Amino acid sequence: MRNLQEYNLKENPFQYLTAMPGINDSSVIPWSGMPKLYEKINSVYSNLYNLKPRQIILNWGPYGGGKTFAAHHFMEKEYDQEGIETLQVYIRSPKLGNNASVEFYKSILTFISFRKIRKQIQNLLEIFGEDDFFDFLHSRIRSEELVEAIILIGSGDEEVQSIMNRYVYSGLTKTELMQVNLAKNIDWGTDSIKFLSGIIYCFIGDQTRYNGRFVLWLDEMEDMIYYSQKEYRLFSQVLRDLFDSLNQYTTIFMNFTLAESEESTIELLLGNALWSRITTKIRFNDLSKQDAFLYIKEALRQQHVSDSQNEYYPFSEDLVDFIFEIIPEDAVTPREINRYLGGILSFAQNEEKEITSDLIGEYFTKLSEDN
Amino acid sequence: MKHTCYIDACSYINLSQDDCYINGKTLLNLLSNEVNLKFSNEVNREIARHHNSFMPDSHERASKVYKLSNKKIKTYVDYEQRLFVKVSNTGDSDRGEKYNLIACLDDYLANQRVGLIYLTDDSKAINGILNDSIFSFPIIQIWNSFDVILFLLMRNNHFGIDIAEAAIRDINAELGKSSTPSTSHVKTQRRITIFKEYVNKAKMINKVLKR
Repeated sequence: MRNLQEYNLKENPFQYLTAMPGINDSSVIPWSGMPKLYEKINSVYSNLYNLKPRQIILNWGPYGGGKTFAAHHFMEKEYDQEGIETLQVYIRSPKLGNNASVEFYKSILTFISFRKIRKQIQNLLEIFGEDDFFDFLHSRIRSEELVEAIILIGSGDEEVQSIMNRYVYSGLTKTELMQVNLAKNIDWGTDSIKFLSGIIYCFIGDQTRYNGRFVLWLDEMEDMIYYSQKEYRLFSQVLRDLFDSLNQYTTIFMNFTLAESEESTIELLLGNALWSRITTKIRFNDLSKQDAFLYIKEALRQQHVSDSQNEYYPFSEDLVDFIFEIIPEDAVTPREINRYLGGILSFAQNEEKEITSDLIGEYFTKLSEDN
Repeated sequence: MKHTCYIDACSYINLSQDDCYINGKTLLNLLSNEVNLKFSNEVNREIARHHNSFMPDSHERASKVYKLSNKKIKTYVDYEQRLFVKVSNTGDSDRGEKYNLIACLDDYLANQRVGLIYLTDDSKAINGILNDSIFSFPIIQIWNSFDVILFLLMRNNHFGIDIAEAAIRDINAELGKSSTPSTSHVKTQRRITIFKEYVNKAKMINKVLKR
């Protein structure tokens, strides 16, 4: 098998058909092409740091258009914002509606991690002092019981920490509640969103003693189509309550895959209450030929070991044109481009050959035989 | 004069999922008030296997079972041989849909019944095993559960646009349960298209009725 270096590449830029999260180096998942789209999302982050808005962003477009990739890229990116800490959370919409609210609540907390939440609360208790911290949180979520519970999470006592871990995720027995002096468990409705908001405010702070921001990427919102009316109403209410509670220094991206071009379809699905809270809509279009070529060129250039006169190496502009004619017109998305070019490059490596039109022909012949 | 509606098991089940529509009634209850509901004995057996608390009990269902009355074609087997060539066996997946079509045709042939509706959510059966037969008989309207909602919107003054939209969402969710969202973006988009289509139809009806 031929090494990628022999193709003047560090990595195969088209190897991923789905975004790869969790890699703390944005050069590994670099952005290619689509400069206008990049600017739009970048501008959202710029607003988050320079202004104090609550932004609810709808990202919508076809399957494979780059919405999930955008989430992971912008979450991994570094922002030169001295003195501002940002908590970014990525979750997928609950697949089934019957426990959507609980799953939503737990997914966010699990993503952050109980350990990180505990450390943050301890940090703020030290910065604010307990009384001021209580006042700060109580002014946001208006529940003495829940604020007391959040303060307990920051306890230095290991047993209390263990109890509070259970409180957050599953609930406590009467004995455990008495042990930590709490009156009741979190009620999976309004309470859970207030509690969640309280936790998030621990990462936003008061902008004076602690300066933070919160970003939530909610992916695959189109799966709400599988919720019954009751489930949809409940989940929609949960989202609205959360959006309304976090009224500053917060950005929430909702990713929605829609094959057709009418925005009104999303409004129908989300409902007017959620739709009316959207502050910006960003459309992820199918790529034009020009966009696609730019995407391919930049993806390759970023992985070139040494500068190449042929920007499309190990392909050529003509070969890219040839492959482009094969991709169905209504499916020119980054995912489909990756599928074709990534496949051809891997095939060339296995065959230990240069990429030529003959090799591409062989690749597609093998593909149709395998299918 | 009321329509006569031959309902298959999947629609019967889908329309009986919740009693949240108008005074604790299911969509099936509401439909029963507007049409003569009937089904074949085979469909009755299928319904019994999936009975839930929102459905009529077996006694109530028994009155809806249609008995063949055509003097010339007397049995389901005779009909199957004419319509489908191959005779089905107990347990065959499309037997209920075939038997309901037979019952529907028999009701027309034996009793000159008109205003016949064939109600099913099994589009695979309609476009597959029934495709050559059902479309040969222009006296039958083919409905799915969404069409039931549109019909109720037209017929029942208390069944307004908000209830219709909620019902469309419910039925769509129920039908989508056989899909796996995480692995089928094509099916998800299809469910979205269907949802939009029927909500728009409901809005059109509502515009005309202007309640």
